[in-house]
Amino acid sequence: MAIMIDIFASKLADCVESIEGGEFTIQDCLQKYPEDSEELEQLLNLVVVLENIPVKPPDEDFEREARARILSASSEQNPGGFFTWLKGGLAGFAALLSPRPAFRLGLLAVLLVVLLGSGVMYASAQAMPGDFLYPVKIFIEDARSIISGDDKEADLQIDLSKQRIKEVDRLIDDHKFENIPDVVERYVRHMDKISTAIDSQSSDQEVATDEKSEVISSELRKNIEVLEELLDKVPDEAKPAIENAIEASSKNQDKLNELFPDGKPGGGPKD
Amino acid sequence: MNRNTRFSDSPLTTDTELVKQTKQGKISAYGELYDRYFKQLYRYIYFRVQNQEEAEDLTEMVFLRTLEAIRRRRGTIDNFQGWLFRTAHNLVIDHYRTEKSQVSLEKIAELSDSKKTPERQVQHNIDSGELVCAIATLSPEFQQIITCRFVSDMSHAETAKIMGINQGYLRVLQFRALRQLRKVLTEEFGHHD
Repeated sequence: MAIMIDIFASKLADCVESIEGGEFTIQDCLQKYPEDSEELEQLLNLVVVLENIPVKPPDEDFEREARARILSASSEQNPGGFFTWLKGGLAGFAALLSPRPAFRLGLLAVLLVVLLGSGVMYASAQAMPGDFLYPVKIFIEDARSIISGDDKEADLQIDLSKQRIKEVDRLIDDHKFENIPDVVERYVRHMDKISTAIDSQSSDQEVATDEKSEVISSELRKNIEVLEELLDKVPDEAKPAIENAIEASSKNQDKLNELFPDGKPGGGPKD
Repeated sequence: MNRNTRFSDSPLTTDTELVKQTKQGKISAYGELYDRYFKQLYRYIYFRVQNQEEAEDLTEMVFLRTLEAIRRRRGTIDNFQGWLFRTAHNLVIDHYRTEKSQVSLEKIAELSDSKKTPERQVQHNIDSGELVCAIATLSPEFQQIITCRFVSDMSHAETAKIMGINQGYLRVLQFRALRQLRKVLTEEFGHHD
């Protein structure tokens, strides 16, 4: 049965290609394969219908403006701030050394220590939102993101998201509720980066994703559980931010479940 | 049913070369990729979301995300078109889930009723709204094949590459998708040949 389906599928594909290329008409195909003419005719007629489905064209202004916006994003320089400037400089420097990632990593670490001092870096790790050293902490996290490989991006963002959750927990203990929305905003950005990393994984069929997607999904589930506990501890005005964080986490979890139902993208055999 | 074959012709500059140039900071290279695939991508997305503004926004988002991926990746992207459409596929799934704007059967039934005018009817008396409705009942895999092959005018080879399957398997899936679609049209909308 499977072989018969394969044969018919090949005949159908052959006919569709020949008709699309203008070499055959439907009648030519039916004459070529008289034994299957009945079903072929039905399906080829359906193909003709499908190829004539009206599609509302895009607005020409939109097409032009979107192009300008995208190209502007392509050339965008990172704006403002010493740390942002430094991060951009390091990223550019790192890109120059891209053929030698191990060397690049070491050099960036040395640069960070020289520029900031190891004591500052250590102290910044404990910094909380509102502290003088908190921007240093965020800068170092961003630098880690730059030097980490694409395949490690989701893991790193999961680690950083957990850091944000710890900060929210501490802010609750310290009754500094006003800082919670900013921290949660960063948490949502980590979730956005995880979403992009998931897209990359599902787009890059050479990357093994089975175990990895399970691990990420499990970590997201833990995040959601903790955030739900935190939701009960915060005042009403901070609840929407936490709910937003839960929603962002859930979306990534749903995406993983949908894209990798069996732990792998695609699902069909490959060449 | 003459297919526009410009996507399978060898362009003056290959996609891979343009991706490489984009990564090196040449802005116009990404502009060329945009010009090359905008309409094809828009058709693909429009057909899935059935709304012009949403399709435009999602198309722009796909190009932005792909640009981000080009910048972030250490290596290059060898199959740009495949990357673009897989990103679009993922975004459309996201869109269905988060915006609650999935093309519901009820919504398309309304579309179908409101558009039953002679000029909206396609061949064989199948209304385009009914057709979209019938396609929406298929599995995501079947929907992707039909949209890539017959709405976005991609070849078997291009579609297989995008879906990450071999061409032999694609042909089998194409047959199954068309047969399933025909079955839905017959059973749900009473269309007989």
